[in-house]
Amino acid sequence: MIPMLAVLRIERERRRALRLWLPLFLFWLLALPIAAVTLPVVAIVLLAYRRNPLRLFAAYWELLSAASGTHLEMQRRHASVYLHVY
Amino acid sequence: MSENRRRILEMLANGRINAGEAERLLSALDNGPNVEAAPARSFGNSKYLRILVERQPERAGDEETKVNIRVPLQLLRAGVKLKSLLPDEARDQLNEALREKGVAFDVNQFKAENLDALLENLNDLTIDIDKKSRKAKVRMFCE
Repeated sequence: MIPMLAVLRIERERRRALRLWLPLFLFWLLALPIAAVTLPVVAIVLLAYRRNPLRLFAAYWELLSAASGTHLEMQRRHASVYLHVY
Repeated sequence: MSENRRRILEMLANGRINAGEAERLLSALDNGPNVEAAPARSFGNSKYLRILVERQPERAGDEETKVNIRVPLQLLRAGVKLKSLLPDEARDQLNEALREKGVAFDVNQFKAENLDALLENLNDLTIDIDKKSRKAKVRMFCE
């Protein structure tokens, strides 16, 4: 399943921590009409270069679907960044 | 309890190997000299590649940096698949850019099946970096 939510947390000393819940599903909803318009153009360009557009789209979809579970965390004494993709 | 036996049991407890594999490893351990020929642990159950970086402070008073990254293995596999769809010119440019950075690596030779072998060999790899006064430890393992 494609990522639906990302949590970003930035903490800095003596500053208010920033905690963001990013609803990615809203982004996908917005991106859908743009994709519907651009994908046929991309497909034509790929066919011109003798590339199979279906294989490419499938690979991109797989890449997107696999992004769930990605986790990044960086800690220093005065600041830390946390990102998790659900 | 020997160090090897303890490590096998820890791997079993962490879910990195299953009971059958633990049994095989323990029996190989009991057989003494054949311990080196014991089967490698299964890589199939791993879902993520974990990269841990710890950098020691450069000077007294500097900060220690810790980085913890977890990448789904499926993401890496999908990335390798995507690579195969790149036009030849783009791959050549990528190879050239890598060569300029001092990395003698041919992306054309890298296939999806090589990734598992690469990760299996990288598994539980620890690199100690000691450059001038900067010290860092990079640890990679699959989980």
